[in-house]
Formats: sequence, structure tokens, C-alpha cells
Amino acid sequence: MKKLILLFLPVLLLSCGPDVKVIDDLNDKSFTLVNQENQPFTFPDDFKGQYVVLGFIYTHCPDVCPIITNNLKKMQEEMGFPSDVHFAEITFDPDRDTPEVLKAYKEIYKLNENFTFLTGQPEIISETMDSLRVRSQVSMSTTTEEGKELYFVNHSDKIMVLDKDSRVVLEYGGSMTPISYIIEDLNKIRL
Amino acid sequence: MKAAFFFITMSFGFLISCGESNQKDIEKSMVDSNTESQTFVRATSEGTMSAGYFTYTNSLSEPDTLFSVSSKVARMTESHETYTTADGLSGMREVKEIPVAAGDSIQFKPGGLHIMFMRLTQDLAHGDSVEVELSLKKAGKVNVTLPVQ
Repeated sequence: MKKLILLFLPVLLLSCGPDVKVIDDLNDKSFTLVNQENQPFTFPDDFKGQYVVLGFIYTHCPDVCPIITNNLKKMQEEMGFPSDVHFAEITFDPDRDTPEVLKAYKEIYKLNENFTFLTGQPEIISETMDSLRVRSQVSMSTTTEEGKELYFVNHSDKIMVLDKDSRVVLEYGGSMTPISYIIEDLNKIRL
Repeated sequence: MKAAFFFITMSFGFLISCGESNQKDIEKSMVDSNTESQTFVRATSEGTMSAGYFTYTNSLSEPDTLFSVSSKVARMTESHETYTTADGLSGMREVKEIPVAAGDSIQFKPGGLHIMFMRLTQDLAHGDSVEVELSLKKAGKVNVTLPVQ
């Protein structure tokens, strides 16, 4: 009997640690992007050592994307602005979402220094999104009276969490998930 | 022996419960966690786009149809809806006519129907308000004022 208990005990102890399932390992990826301050940012390397709650938006999206941004903002607030968790959003509309536009967007939402927006060269953004399995496509395009192109984008609606080693470990619907679920899951895996 | 059987049974139960996924089944409903009211226009800057949300109730004793919306704060204003495409993407499209039964309501809400303000002619800041003119086939012109949040 004692031998049986000794045999099972280590298994039990090991099995009930943080339940981390790696969805994607981004360690072999490296994308040169820029942040809202127009400073170079290497994704995901520059986030290493922090958990990252990551959303995907474009600033000309007035409905779903602001919901995602608000969800990340509220998560940060409800978690008490944790220093080990960074919040970030990458645009899939780099032509319009320049660093200046993203900076203005960040100011409107009153987000702090632990919240980063990323954009970049269209082909690099496209590669970044592919690696994260985030899809987007122009859905409607028209030309305004002033000759300006106006378009909308169909896109993945997603929030994901990267661990400190740049591994995607959690993934959710971005606008449709109660943030309490994400916070609870994230707190389970934070070491 | 009974004790051993009990221990093994409990162990497997424990293992199964610990292996539960950290992903929950998500009820598919949009959750905008930073807007307390459902009557508002999103704050944003000139030249971009915004969305307006409110509830319109048809107080007539007959069905009506909303067929046009307009506002001075945007070069183009339309009724739009957010929807999920056949391949699972989040999209947006114009809704040209919205029928509403007598006594019923049209709900413009995050993640669903919304008033789409395109190419804003001015910044929309917290504390501002936006006037929207609704055109209905029976009720005629109806003005609503929405706070900016």
C-alpha cells in the first residue's frame, strides 16, 4: 500500500501545477515592427520576460475593435496594472494605422505605458498576422467625393495571451469573452 | 486492499479534474467592458469613424421602417451591422432598411446594429454630444441626441 501511494503521489503533485497548453511557440519568429512612438520593436522578442495580452485591431473599425481595446483596458484595470503583464494591440491595417494614428488612438483610450500599439511595413504585418493565425481582408472599398479610398476590413476577432517565453498559451474571441474568464485563466498560469 | 483501491480511484478522479482545459466555453455575446451605458457615441478623432448606440421604440400603432440616418458630425452616416462571415471573420455591412413592428424597438448596440459615422468632420470627445436625424417611413423625421463616451 505504501509503495502504491509513493508511486502515485509525485504524479498527483505534478499534474496539478499550472495547466499550460502551448497553442503556438513563437520563439523562432522575429518581426521588425514599430510602436506608436515610431520606435523599432521586434515582435515577439521585445516582450520576452512578460506575459502579453494581445489584441488585433484597425482604428477605422468603430464597433468590434473598440470593444477589444476596451476589454484589454478593463482587464489591465481589474488586474491592478500588473507589472509582469503587458497589453498590446497589432493593427492589420498598416496603410492607415501609422504610428501617429495609433498614438492618437492610444490617447483617446487613456492607456498607460504598459500598453503598446504596433504597426509596420504591410508585408511584415502580413507575415506577423499569418504567424499568429489572424486573418483579414478588405470587405468593402469605395472612393469618396474627394478621391480618397474608403474601405472596411473583415478580420479575426481574437485576444491571445503569450507567456514569458513568447508562447501563445491562451486564446479567446476578442469581443465576446467576459474579461473575468481571461483574468482567471491568466492568473492560473502566472508564476 | 480496499484502501489501495480507494486511493487509486480517487487519484484518477483527481487527475481528470486537474486536466480540465483552461479555456471555457464562451457564450457568444459581445462584451464591451468599458461602456456603462448603451446610449452613446464612441469618442474618436476627426477623419476617422465612430459608432452610435441607442434604442428606438416605435410608439405608433402600425409597423414602421427606418430607411435613413444622418448627422452633421460625419460626411457619411449609415445604419450598419456587425456580423460573422461564412469563414468566421468579423465583418460590417450597411443595412439600408430596418423594419420595426408597432410598439417594438430597434436596438443599436455594440457588436450588432450601430449608427456608422464615417469620415468625421470633427473630434468627438468625452462630454460632447451628437445629434442624429432618423428618417422613418411613417414617423417621419426623428432627432436623437447621444452623449460621447
